[in-house]
Parts: sequence; structure tokens; C-alpha cells
Amino acid sequence: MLKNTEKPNLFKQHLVVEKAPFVQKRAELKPGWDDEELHLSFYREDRDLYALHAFVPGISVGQQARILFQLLRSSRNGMEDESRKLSDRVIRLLLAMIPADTVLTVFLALRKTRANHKHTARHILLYILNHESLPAMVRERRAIVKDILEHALGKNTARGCAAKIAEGIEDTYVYGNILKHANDASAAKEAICYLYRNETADSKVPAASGIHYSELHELYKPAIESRETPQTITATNRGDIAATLVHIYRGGENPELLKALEEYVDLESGNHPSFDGSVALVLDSSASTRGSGEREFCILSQSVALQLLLARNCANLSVHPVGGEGFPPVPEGTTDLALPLLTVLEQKPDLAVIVSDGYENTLQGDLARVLQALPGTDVETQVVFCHSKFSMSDKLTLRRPVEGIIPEFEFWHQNDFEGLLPSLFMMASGEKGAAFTKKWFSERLVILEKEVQPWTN
Amino acid sequence: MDKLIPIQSLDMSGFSFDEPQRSGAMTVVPLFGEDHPGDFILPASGLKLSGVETYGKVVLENAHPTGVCIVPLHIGYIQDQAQNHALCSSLFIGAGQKVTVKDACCVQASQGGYLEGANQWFFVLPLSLREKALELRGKEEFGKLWDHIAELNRDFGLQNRGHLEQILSRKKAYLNQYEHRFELQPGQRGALFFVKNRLAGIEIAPTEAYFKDIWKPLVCFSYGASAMLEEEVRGIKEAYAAPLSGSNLAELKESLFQSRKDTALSVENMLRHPPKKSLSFKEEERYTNLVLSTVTNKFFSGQVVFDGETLIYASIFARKAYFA
Repeated sequence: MLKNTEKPNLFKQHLVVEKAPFVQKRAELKPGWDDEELHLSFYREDRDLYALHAFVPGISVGQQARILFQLLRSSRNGMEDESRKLSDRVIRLLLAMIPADTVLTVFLALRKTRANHKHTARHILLYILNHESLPAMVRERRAIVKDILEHALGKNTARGCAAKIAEGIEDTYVYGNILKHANDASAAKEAICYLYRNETADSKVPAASGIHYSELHELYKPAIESRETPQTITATNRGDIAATLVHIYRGGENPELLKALEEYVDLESGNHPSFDGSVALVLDSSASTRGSGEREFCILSQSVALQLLLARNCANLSVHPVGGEGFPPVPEGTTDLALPLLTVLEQKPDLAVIVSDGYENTLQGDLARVLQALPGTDVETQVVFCHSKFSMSDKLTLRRPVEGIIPEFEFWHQNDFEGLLPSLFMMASGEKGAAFTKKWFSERLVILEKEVQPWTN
Repeated sequence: MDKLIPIQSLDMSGFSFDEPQRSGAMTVVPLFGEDHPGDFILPASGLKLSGVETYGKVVLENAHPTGVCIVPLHIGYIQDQAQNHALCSSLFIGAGQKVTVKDACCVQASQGGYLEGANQWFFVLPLSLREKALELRGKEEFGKLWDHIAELNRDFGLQNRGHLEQILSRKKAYLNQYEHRFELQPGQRGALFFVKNRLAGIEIAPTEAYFKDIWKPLVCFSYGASAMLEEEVRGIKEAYAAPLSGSNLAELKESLFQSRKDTALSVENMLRHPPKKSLSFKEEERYTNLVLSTVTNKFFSGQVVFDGETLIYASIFARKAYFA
């Protein structure tokens, strides 16, 4: 049975790894999603946090569709105002970012499961009646759009309004049920007429213009920042912090290098979120982390760079070096990861992070055995493993001592810390981890809203 | 004349042992000790391979003004634009001396074995070739190991030919990792190597610097090749100790300590009770007080160097009969 501390992390991994689409077949009474229980379980634990998981970095469209479905199908009885507002913001953003055909599938699933709360109907109507490519959508997906509209309005109401619109009547009935949701009343009326046309009526085929409805979402995707990676990786182009540490290792400390190190860490620290909790770091500084030739000191330098950032951005960081001591630690000694982990866990940190090149030899297998035995103890701390690499293409064969047991991360360049730090902090167990996750995702929501500027607002 | 001596007379009381390192099919127990007094030239970086006179005849030079080089047993040389060779026996090369070794094994069976762009680098013969190489010392036949190299290549699933570079070069990415999987320690003068929990070799150097120089050739290419065969080719997963148990951290720690004690004890037992109690001893060469001898019994053979009563160099490895 999974411990509570493991569940949130498994859910995040699930959202990224599981890419199966959200499917609703017309002949089926409910959508086909075999991870429904998992979604429900997280939704029940914390609805706000669940909603915010829609923006986990790397989440698949299929999983976003599931979250959208869950938010729309669920009753808001007893929900606080702030939670309703948050849910609406997430829904609006998802509606803009997810392909329209997938959104229509979600709406169809809502119809099949007879989910029709006030907020459900409102979002459906707002989406359909204000879609920028409404003409193409009603022309190409006429049947499903009509079904969905009738689900949101009620069949009789929808048909009643359509009949009146066809006769040019725009009374309070028509306005109150349909037109009040539309920014462009005439476009909405034209679409309704087309949806309910009969073969003899002189209904205009809506003209198509602009971007195709199935591609509109492409305009509302957050920009993916492309990061320049050097073609040839050297000891000193993997980030300024590690580069400075390599020089310190090679030639010893001097005031100039130490000052530069301080400044680079200061600068980088400001780019990352803070964590209001305790982190224990098991830092592998054994002989193998030295490397050799052109790679000498590189892996250890980047590990120490991460240590320095964590020291700045965590309320409480304790460091347990494995192998060499001092600052920066001398790369020497063997690699015992199991015993140091047990030692740091005694402090009951919110998170334990093992940073290593992966070559455990005292004794190989001991770390895995400790981690496998931990669920049988009273330890609540989440443990994670970070592989320190020289370059992106380093293979980790023969050096994955925790494979399949705890979450693993990799880094080789200072730029990797942008995704790594929040991912680590989110892994922290208990209140601290949940609080960080909520805060970080909430901030991410604001950033996304500014960047994406969804038309659904 | 051969002497018969008890194994215990290989006095290792001057050495201390550290806790074993284990990775995959191999376990290594580091040995520590003070450097033996004397000027010992580094065997890989200090000695010069002057050239290859003809197949099977390599010229080694100790160009230093002082110091003796104990050439490690079964050291081999990979060199660009030259046929690669390995030596069958250890030897002494004094300061300023140039020696032609006439019984070297050529480890490439044909011309096609040149390495492109490779600098000179060193290896020690893979463990499973060492018994035959030692047996054939003195025999001036450069192709004497080819059949055995071909057999080893077959074991690795490689082409059946007498080209050792098929393993040393093509499997280099895997073999090189042994240098990271097993970490050399400051003050280390030797090591005990175990493959599949059986003693595979005892390696001792006169000084820390000497051992550091020969470490990679030993751990990656000699014992590493045997471990790789078990791990990658035979697919034998090393069976680690039983799961740990404990309802809290203190109990878990205790469980871990006990498990490690058990491992250390099993290693100790292996050393206290060697399968055969004596070694035959054959003197090969002397250099001032240093005496080089070949040692053999049914399960182990190799060479050692004594300075008077003190063991200062050893390269003793398990024979095929021990692993059978």
C-alpha cells in the first residue's frame, strides 16, 4: 500500500508518463479512462491542488482532458468561493490550451454521464458560443455540437430558442438562455440556425475564416523556452557556478574565485523558488566523482553547485558528505549511500535528497535494501535521488542504484536547476510539500494566464 | 630448485584491510600499508616501451637515473601503429637499463588489429588468460596465446579469433567503468579481488604510487573482464544479502550493520582458510636484495617479490581449476 507521502509524487509522475487520450465513444455510457480512481482519489484529498496539477510541467493532453472533465462533472456544493474561482480559472485556461476536438469529447462525456451543474453548463456555453472558429466547428462537428448544446441548455430549451432565432425573435427567453453567453450575438445566432437547419430552410452555411477550429489551441500554448546547449561540452560551459568550482578544484581557492562563486550563486538563487522546510542532502563526494581528463571535477562541481543553491533557497539544509570533506569537498573515499541516508533520516527532514554519480560500492545494493525496508518503518520523509552527470548524453547503465524504488532526477547543466528545484520541493512530504506545491502551481497559473491570455476569459 | 612453502608465509601482517567494496559480480578488499623503502619506478607511466623488434620481442627501457622497475606480471601494451603485446612474466629493470623481452605474447593474430588514433595505454591480461601466459613464460612463440584469446572472444560472443583488442577496445566503455565502480583509496598498496564471491587475485605493490599506476589495468582489464563476463554475458545477477528488516531507523541501522558484518566475515573466512595450504616457490631473478619468484599450487599461481623477508610485490591469481 502506498504511503501518503508517496502518493502526490506518483500522481505527478502519472500525469506526465501516461499519455493515453481521453475517450468517449458515442455508443458508450461513460468515458474510457482506467485511471479514474487515481484522479478521484486526489480530487477528494485536495480539490484545489488537484486542479493546479493541470499545469504540471510535461503533463500530457489526455491527462489535462481528464482533469477538465473531473472539474466540470463535479458538484460545487459546499465549495468555498476561492476554490470556485480557482477551478474556473483552471477550466478557462485548459479550454484554451487543449485541442477543440478533445474539449468536445470531454463535453460529450459530460452529457453521457449526465453531469450538468450550473458551472458545467456555463463553461460549455461560453466555450461553444464564443469559439473563434465557431463556423468551422459547427460545420464539421454539427452533430456533437448540437448534442452538447442541448445537454447544457436542456433539449426543449435549446430547440425552443433555435426556433425563435430562426424566426428572428430575440426575446428575454432567447437572451437569458443563450445570447447572454455570447460576445458576438449575430455569430452565435448564425451558428444556432445552422445547427438546427432543416433541409428546406434557407440557412446559410457559416463562412469559414481564420485559423481552423481544431488548431486554435496552438495560439494559446505557453512558449517553450529554447535553451542554448553548447555543441561541445567542456568543463567550464556547464554553468557559471560549476565552472568556478572547477577552477577552485584545479588551482585552489583564491579571493577572486570565491567572490565570483558567491555572486553567481546569488544571481542564480533569485531565479528559483524558496522552500520553507528542511532538506537533508546526502552529497556523494567519493573518489569516482572526481572524474578524469577533461571531465575532471565536473560532476562533483555541479553537485556542489546544487548544494549551494539549496543552501540559499531552503529554510534549513543539512549536508552529509559521502567521501571527502571540506569545502568544496575533496573527491575521495568509497561510496556508502545507505548508512548516511539512515543517519540523515534520524533528523526527520521534510525531504532527503541523494546527489550522486550513481556508483554505489559500499555495498552495492544496500541503498536499495534500505529504501525497500523504509515503508515498514515509521519514517515519513520522502527520499529522492539526483543523478549528477557530465552531459545530457551520459548513460546511466550500471549506476542506477534506486531504479524503480524512489523518484529519480538528472542534471548536468546549471539550467537544469530551473525545473529541478521546484520538482524536488514538491516532493517534500507532509504540509511543507503540499504548501509549496500549491504556492508554486498558483504562481504558475498566474504566469500561464499572462502568457497564454486565453480567449475563454 | 622449487621450494614448498605454506601460504601463511606470504606475510601480510604489514598490511591493513578496509571494508570490502562490492559492485556486480566483483568485490574488492583494499590493502593499506606504508610504502616500502626504496626507489621503485612506476610500472606503466615510468617505464618506456621503446619498441617492438619483431613479433614477440618487445624492448622496455628504464630511462631513470636511479630506481628499479618491477615490471608487473602480465602487463600489456596497446599502441597505435604497432602490434599489441603482453608479457608472460614479471622482471626487474634497473636504472638506465634497456631489456629485450623475447617471450612476449602478441595479442593480435593478424595485421588488422591496429587501433586508430589511440595513444599508448596499458592493460593486464584478462584473468582467464593469465594461467596459460604464466605457464608459457620463456617460450619464444609470439602466437602462443592466440587460441586462448580466441576462446575468450567466443565466451564474450565475439568473433572467434586471436585478437584481444576485440574485448579491450569494443568493451572498453563497459570495462572502463570498473575504475569508477571500485574506488582507489589514499594509502592503498594493494587489493584482494573476488569474482562471484571467490578469491580471484591478490595484488600488492611496493608503493602507493606504484599501485595507483597499475590500478586501472588491473581493475578494468584483468579482473574487470572476468566480472564483465559474469555480469553481461552469463547474465549472472549477484545475489545480494537478504532484505533488511526493522520497524524503525535504529533497527534498520542494526540490520544493515549486521548484514555488512556478515559480508566482511565471509571474506575473512575465505582468506583464513585457503583451499590449498601450500605454494611451490621457484626463484626467477634477483636484483640486489629483491627476489622474484613464481608461486603455484593447484588453485593459484602468480609471482611475488621479496625484499629479504618482506613481501613487497605480489600478483597471485586464481587458476581455472579454482573456478571449476
